[in-house]
Amino acid sequence: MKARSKVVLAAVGVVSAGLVAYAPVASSAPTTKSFAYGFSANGEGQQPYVESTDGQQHETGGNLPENPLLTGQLVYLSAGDDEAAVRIANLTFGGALAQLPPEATAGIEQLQAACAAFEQEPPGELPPIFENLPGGVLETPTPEDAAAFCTQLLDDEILNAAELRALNVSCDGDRGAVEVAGASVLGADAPGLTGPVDPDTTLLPAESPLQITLNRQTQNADGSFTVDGLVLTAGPGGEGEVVLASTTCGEPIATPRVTDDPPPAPAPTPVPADIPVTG
Amino acid sequence: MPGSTLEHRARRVASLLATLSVVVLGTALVLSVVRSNGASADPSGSHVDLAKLPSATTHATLPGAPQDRGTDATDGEVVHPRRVVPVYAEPGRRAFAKVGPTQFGPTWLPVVERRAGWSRVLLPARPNGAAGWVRTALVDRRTSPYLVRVHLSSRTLEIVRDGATAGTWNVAVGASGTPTPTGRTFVLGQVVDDQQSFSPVILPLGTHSNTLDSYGGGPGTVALHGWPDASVFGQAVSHGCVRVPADALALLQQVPLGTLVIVDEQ
Repeated sequence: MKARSKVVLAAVGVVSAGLVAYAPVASSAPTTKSFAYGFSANGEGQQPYVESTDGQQHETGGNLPENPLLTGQLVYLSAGDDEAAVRIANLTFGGALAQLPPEATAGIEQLQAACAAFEQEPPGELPPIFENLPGGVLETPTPEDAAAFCTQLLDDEILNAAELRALNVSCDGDRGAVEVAGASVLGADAPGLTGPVDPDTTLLPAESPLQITLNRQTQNADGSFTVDGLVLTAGPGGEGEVVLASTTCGEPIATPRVTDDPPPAPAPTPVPADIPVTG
Repeated sequence: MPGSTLEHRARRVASLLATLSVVVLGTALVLSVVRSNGASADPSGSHVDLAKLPSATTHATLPGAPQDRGTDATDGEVVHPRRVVPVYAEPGRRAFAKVGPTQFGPTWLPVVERRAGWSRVLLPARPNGAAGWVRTALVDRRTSPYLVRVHLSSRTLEIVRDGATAGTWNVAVGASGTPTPTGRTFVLGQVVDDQQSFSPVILPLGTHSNTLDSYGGGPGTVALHGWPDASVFGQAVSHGCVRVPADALALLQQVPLGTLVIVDEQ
């Protein structure tokens, strides 16, 4: 991935991190089901969602859940026999500052302070808040890009950081693919991001409190295979996670299903209670 | 200051600005989510303020609960919330209630539908047929080999174990003015109530009388229980409960909590 694309996804991370929520989740039930969804936060709210348990092709569409940071005007999903695909079109990361969660105020103020320093002519000394940042990770956006970003942040109060014309994710058996089309950041095209993305592409160093992963591929314990298009992970221990555009391929329907019956339930023990019933 | 130095500094600040955007704002937003949830170490993933949600108990009415329209038997899976968990109208969409680990003894609920990571369960609250989704990761799973069928027209109760009929008995069902409600429900508990002398043990169900908003100071909970006068069996004479003979009650006492009960018009 070219340096410029890292800038694009950095901006994506800025505005998308507010969607990250807490908790892990994992369903390890053996399955032959294949499914796809557009959005989830810590495994919750998988929507729009489509699955196939009968080997037939199922398709659906929809919009991403309403939120102040992220819009996807159209989501197309399909799932079939050991295959699944999702396409998010016109994905926009950004929104009006006034609509951002109030908890983001401190971060916005820091960014505004940084922008104020940036707009000094000539640029002043680096603000203290730049100290101890991981260096050499995000390649340089042009000063013009940064200035435009700051102008939005300081004047327009509109944070419109990045757009992806399409994010395509698919799995077929144990093979997965992620492709980005029509990326732009701060209104400028980012052709370096266009095209296929290598599996498990990460954009920030491990010590960063926010991680961005493209094309995360997971071979699940139940035999299924998951390809997550864009993953944002944050929080202590990395517990918070947002996934955009995910597909999971189960196993071919002809494969005998592994049973996962829970153990027998015990006979109950009567307990004292005062519960008048209808007699 | 030479122009090249200025440009270099501008580029450096711009680069750091991009990094700062990610690190500071992203982290601040995520941590704010944690704080607002008050659950920094909570593995549930809940974004829900449980304190504001009504409890799904036999005493509650949950107008926003989706309705279970099913009439079929399930595979027998029952689940027990390990702690108080949110109940959603759709997976992850909207929590409308919570359900805790105990009610009459441990809470066990029948699973009537599953999706990846989610289980749809019947709830013990009004209105009858109330159901909702819980996260499978937050519940213990077991399988009940039993199914209880109540046939209103024939006034019989059938206990099915492992798909085979274990016994059928004539029972008393609700009278015409206070009929036993039809649909899928479940064994909510097994209680001994010193205030009720008609049965040594009572099995409250997840369903309620549709004609009695309350009964005897209770919320109109329908139950399976014994009855001292055998002449009622085969009659439609109760206020909604199903009165069963002693040998049926003895077998019902072996039925795990959460076991599906299907009441039909047959």
